[in-house]
Amino acid sequence: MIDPVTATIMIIAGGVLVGVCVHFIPASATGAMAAATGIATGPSMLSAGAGLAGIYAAAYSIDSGLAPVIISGAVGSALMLLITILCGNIVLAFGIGTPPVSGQTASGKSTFGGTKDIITGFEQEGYRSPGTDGHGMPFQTVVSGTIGALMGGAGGALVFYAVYSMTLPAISTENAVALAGIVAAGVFLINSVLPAYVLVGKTEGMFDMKIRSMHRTFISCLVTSSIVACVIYAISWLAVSGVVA
Amino acid sequence: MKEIQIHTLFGAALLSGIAGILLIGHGISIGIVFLWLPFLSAANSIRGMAMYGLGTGNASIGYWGTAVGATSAFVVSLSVSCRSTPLLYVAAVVAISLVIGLATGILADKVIRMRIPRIELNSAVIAMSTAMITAGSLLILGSDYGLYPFIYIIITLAVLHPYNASTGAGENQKRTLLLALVEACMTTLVIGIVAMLAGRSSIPISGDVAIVAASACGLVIAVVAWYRLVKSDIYEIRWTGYPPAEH
Repeated sequence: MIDPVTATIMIIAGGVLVGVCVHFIPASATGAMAAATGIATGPSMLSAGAGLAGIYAAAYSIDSGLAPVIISGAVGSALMLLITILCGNIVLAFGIGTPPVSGQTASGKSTFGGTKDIITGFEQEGYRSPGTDGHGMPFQTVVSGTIGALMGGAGGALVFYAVYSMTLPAISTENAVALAGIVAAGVFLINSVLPAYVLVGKTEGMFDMKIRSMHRTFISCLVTSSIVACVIYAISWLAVSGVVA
Repeated sequence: MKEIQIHTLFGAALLSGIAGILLIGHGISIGIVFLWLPFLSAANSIRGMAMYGLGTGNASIGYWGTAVGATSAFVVSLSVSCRSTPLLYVAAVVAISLVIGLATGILADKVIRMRIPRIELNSAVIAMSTAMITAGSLLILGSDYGLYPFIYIIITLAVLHPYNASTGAGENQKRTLLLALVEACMTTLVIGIVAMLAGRSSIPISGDVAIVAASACGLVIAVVAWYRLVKSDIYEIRWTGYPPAEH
């Protein structure tokens, strides 16, 4: 178990990680029509889904200590996202007939410049369908999404373990796990929607120029998470101290 | 047609919500009907934010707003008993959700620079309205931690869906709010049924039956009124049996 002040800092750190992770996960609603690169849903909802998968995974190792909880959360989240990307690419490639192409890279507007996939070196220009902003998830966006999911899952697990540690002295273990799970999910949803305002519904992850607006997300999530963490700390302290109205 | 202002609707929802929670807290389960107005207030504020094209979906706003409200209610239930001191509980829940909702709205406006009018007011209203609904639901279902995700999801769907379903060229506030009323009745109906089936309700079974009966009556009335309004709104494009030239 960890002390309440450390747990409060963990909630803040977890909330910020959750907010920042959204910038790394490639998502676009128009991806459903193969009209943009990224998984076919809003960035915040996708990140929330990955984060919730991470919290479920983290819950299985709650008795094993902090490190296994964080690793379980991160791996669970990354696994969920990679399976989603794999299935999305299969449908887009074999169902619609569109190869995975980064729209930003194909038009030379990616963070690192050039028109090639930064990792595999595959040329992107020429494979993009006319009138679209890319389609599917090429390798560089998969790597970016995996990094984002690892961060998000770790962040969710941090919040989960922190709330569990703070509430355990006041309630039974089963109830502490249930409460920590739903509170961690709540913190995840609060922080994952804020970056969506910055991303305007679409991002290709760390290779998208929008990654440069990450400082806004960072500040917003830091302030929001701090308020939430202070509230959780105060109420847990009241409950543990026996000041129950 | 003149639209109902956000603060007018929320003022009514706040009074109605507190009245409902106090009634339920004193064992009068039928007070759940007073929680229908907070549903309308939350759905109206989601409409107020989402109609400007957020860059995120209506669903995200619903999930976010309910996350603030429900998380506040869940956390506060750890220290303040919703049953023995309902007024203190609802005051704490509303105050915390106001702070978090307002802070997020101000950050979205000032730091992220979303240029949406009254985003901070709408954020706070969604958070407080959903917090009151969650507090009322917890009073009925009791502090059963296993039911918390269910409470969260059912409220989220009821507040995010009305504008999501009504959006489009002919969307208007009256139809969206009437659909919100339909979904509010549906939600309280499900809460009543779950309270009966779970058998862990903090109010007697007759109270659960009263919730189901009142919600079912409200649902029928709201669905009929909503259906009539939909028919009235689409009369121009509805096939009347005559070609347009003879109509």
